[in-house]
Amino acid sequence: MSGSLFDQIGGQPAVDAAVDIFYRKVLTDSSISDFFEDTDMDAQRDKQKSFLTMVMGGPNNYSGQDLRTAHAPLVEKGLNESHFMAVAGHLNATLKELNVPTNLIEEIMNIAGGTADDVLNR
Amino acid sequence: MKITYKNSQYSALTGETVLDTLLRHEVAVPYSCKAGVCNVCVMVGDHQEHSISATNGLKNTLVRQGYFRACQSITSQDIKLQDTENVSLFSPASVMEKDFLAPDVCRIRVRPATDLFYHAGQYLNIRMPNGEIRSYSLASLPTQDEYLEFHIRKMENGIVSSWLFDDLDVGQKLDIQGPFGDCFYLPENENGDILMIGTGTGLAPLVGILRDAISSGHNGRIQIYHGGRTEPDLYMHKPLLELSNTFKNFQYFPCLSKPSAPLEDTMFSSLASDLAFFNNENLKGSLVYLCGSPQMVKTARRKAYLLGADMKQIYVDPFITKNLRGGELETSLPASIGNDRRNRL
Repeated sequence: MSGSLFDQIGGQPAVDAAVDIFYRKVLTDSSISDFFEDTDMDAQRDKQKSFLTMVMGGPNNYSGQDLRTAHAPLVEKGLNESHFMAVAGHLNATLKELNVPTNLIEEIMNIAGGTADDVLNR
Repeated sequence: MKITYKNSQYSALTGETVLDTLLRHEVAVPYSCKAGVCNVCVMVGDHQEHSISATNGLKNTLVRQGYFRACQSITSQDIKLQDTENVSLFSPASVMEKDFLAPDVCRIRVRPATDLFYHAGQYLNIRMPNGEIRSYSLASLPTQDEYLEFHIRKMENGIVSSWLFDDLDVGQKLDIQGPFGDCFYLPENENGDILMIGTGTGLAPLVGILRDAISSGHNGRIQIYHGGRTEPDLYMHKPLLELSNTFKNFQYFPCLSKPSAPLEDTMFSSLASDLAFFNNENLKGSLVYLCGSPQMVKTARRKAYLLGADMKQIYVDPFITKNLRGGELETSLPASIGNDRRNRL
């Protein structure tokens, strides 16, 4: 295996495939779907795509501050660690569904886990 | 290679993206990720010769109109970029026919002074003499109709809709601008199943799209679910019923939420979207068109996506009824003007 995580996982097509599965999982999970109730679906999906591109090591311009600002209103509505874990679970399941190798899943989940403090504004 | 933007020409270096060329010449254009992800740099060009990553993931109907990601397109030929903020001019049209289809719905057919290139299902802005402007969807089919057809629902306190409904007569003139919108039929989808849900005069663009599909020899199944409260709301009941008898692959489902008993046996007592999704549990590969009340469009869109429809294959036209405090504005305004453009990519 060589190349960046993003290349190993299959680049942009892999991200596109993941977004589709991931977003459906998030929207159907009643424990978190309320947080997505008022959002514009296109904009939301673009964000999911940026997020997945970022955790999969692809080109992005995400900053911790962006994550904080974007999630601050949700934290006010009660977004907490259990919600974060639920989304992380969907990410994990999505990657498994796409037969991403275990070692890469681990790497991706580590990157995702590293955003917890910013997302939850801690 | 030359890039033309706002009346100036810029030379692209070999292998340089359109965005980089503009930025190198210090042209202020919006962009963000430069990686083909964020869609901030989407522009409209005069041709569609771009690398795949410049258009991949954008709606096909937008690609057809020249939309592309400037950060991903390396020019292989000269391109003229449209100033997407530039508002095209209004042009006159005269009223040829006016009929009343329901107590609160009229059909207006107008002839534009200059030929208009449009797709059935798009919308135009109509300006009345006092300057008020509203958007109305086109129900006509450019390949068959010499006129532009609108279905106008008279809104309570509606300035433009009241003028169109009550005052405008055959022979009079109005100003039109457009077309706009990405809710239309693409012949390359001829084998796909089409699910259309419309409430009220949200039926207008769907009728245009239906006629376009039929005249293009569409092979897949086509279903229209038209929702209203009571019988008069189903203002195209007879013609659509006849079309469904003529074309085997077209089915029409008239739905009423508050029917006056007894219900005609061709009608259904249901919300249009409820019946549509009850009858179509798997929308993978289907094309979905949603037009009408924003609430219906919003919930049906999510539902269609969760039932397997590809987000890019869900075309929507929410009719936003403006009701500002002070009770001044009204009517059917598709949400796609100006700032909302990016949200429809």
